[in-house]
Amino acid sequence: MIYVDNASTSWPKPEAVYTAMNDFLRKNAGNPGRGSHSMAFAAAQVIEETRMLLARLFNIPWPERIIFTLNCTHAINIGLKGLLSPGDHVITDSIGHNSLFRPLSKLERQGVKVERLRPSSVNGSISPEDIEKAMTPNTRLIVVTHGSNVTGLVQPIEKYGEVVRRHNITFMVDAAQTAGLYQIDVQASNIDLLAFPGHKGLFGPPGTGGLYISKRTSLETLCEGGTGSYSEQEEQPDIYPDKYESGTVNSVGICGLGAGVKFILQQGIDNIRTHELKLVHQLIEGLSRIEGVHIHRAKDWEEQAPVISLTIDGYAPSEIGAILDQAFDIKLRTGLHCAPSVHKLIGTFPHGTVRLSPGFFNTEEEMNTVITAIEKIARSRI
Amino acid sequence: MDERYIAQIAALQAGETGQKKLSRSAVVVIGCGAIGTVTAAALARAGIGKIKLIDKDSVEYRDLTTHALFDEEDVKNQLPKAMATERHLKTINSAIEIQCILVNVDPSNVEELISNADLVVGGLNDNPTSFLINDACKKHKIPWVHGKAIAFWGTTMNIIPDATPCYQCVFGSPLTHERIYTVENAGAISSTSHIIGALQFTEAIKILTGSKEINRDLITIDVWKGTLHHLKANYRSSCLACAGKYQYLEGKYEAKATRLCDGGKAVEVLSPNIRKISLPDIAEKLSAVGQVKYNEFMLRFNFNSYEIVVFPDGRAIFKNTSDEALALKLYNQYIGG
Repeated sequence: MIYVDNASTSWPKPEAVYTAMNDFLRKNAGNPGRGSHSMAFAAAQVIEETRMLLARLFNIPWPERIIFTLNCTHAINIGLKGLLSPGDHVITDSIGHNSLFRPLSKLERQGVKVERLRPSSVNGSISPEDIEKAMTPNTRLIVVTHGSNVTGLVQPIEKYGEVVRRHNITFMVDAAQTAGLYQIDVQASNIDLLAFPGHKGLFGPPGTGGLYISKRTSLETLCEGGTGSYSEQEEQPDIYPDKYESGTVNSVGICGLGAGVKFILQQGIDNIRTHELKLVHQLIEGLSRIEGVHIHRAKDWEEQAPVISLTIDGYAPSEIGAILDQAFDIKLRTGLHCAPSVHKLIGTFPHGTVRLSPGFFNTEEEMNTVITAIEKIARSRI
Repeated sequence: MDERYIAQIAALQAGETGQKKLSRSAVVVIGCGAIGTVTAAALARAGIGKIKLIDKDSVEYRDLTTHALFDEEDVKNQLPKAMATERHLKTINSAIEIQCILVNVDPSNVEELISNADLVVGGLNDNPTSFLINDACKKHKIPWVHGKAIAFWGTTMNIIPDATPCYQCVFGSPLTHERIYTVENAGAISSTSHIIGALQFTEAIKILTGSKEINRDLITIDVWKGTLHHLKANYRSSCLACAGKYQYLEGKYEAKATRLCDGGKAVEVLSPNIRKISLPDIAEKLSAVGQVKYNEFMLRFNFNSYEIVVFPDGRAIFKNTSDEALALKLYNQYIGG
């Protein structure tokens, strides 16, 4: 079996993630921050350790301003809905995922104005100049997708951050495809809100994710409740991370996420990316030689994340996915990948594409098998 | 004849002979819920010789509003419904043979469960299982009485092999009904299941005593309005069970249809029961109906406005439709059937 669907969720996880979660649930799974017994302390410690590791990874000076969420979608929702009010103006791109576009559509119905910039430069990214041109006195937020989950295009967030900072507007980044693969420095890139999943590039289990909230930014809460702190107050406490973490957190998941981040720090983020990009390069080279195969990717190699899409003449993407699964035991995703607007840009709407997203545990040999399988399919077109 | 049945013998058209038939009868009750408990209790009181009770679930507090027989002790003891039913029936009639079996009825066990039965009573709101019971009873020529009760609405009908239309004739396929009402979305009250259980019991003893007046209609009730209607049950010419094809018994109803995450309209059908199909064979079969093309990986079949793509492991993609029920129907008709 070959798993090349890491853009959906990474698999397998590093061995340390399995071990850490198993040990935690058996030995330390008290309710963090809720009680003065050793198990509650141990659980709280594991969670704070994961916060520290994430702070190191993203160069965040205040770990408590990272809040744990269910996933990246949840984090994006907390950021957008906690920040925006009717009358606010938002600028975004056109390569985003429904996790960003759907909450924005809802806010739009409530009176928020949303401007979706089309790619302006040849390589497919939006340009910092276009962002600046689109700004109005009411512009409250610039929110961008760091890496496309369809073509793998990586956008220059540090350049956007410079522009945004000059105008003192909130800057939010959706790092669903890039967290754990690219050096994201919230200080250098002037990021105010960083939404990231725990279960993709960070190697945590499903059900984990997070949102970083800068000191310049204040969000309304979407959910209030028990925090284990200031219990005598009727109002939600105004301290981080408690303000945004009501109810018992996914302690065992966060423990696994911590082990995943530790693995990344040990391996080195650049080594992980280099390995995955080498595999993607191999795929692009091998596949582009096959007649009838069309690759959808970042135009510039420097801006390519380890995700590419393809279509094959004579086949619908869903057919290719079914053939690869059953005849070759290759697991990948087909369709729109929850990002319809990018397909409109690249001309693959409404049927979408076949997506290949190799991970750290894939090998060159496996990529050769994938290329051979796709070649066989393309050649035997009906 | 036992004195306890005097009143019943007086009422039965078949009299003492009829009572003897009941005492020699074996009835299988599938589902010991709101309906099954009513029917089973009446059957025990009537002196049915052997009653087999089948249900896997346990009694819960929420069952006490609708399930006859059960009480709070049963819930506290976490008794399985079939076992609780058996215990209560034994206090009603200790002279008869009662057996409980704690399983879910599925294609692998249904034939054994109903073997040697003179009659099967189905008190279940689960559509696919009713289709399965229908197949098994048709195959083994055992009469069965269907019963269903949701909120104020109940239905019952008799299925007598070779004599009446069957459950599949009347209801088509599990999916055509699945999305209407369920106990989960519409609720349940005890009067509906009591009446359906009472009607089922009456039909059961009519069938077992060889009455010529057994009901041949689909009976529907609305307890809120206080109405009962007879709808004519018709044979369906496309009914597979009547043609001797028992697709539910072969487990084919477990095929699942899912809309694809594909902006176009398409539904994928996966069937766990077909492991390997021969594309050339299917192509030959389908070429009479529409246009067929295939290679070693897949087969493309066009007819009317549909396009169906079939893969060697039995999965299929239906294009130009987002109707999952239709895709399953077409699947059963052209690929799985």
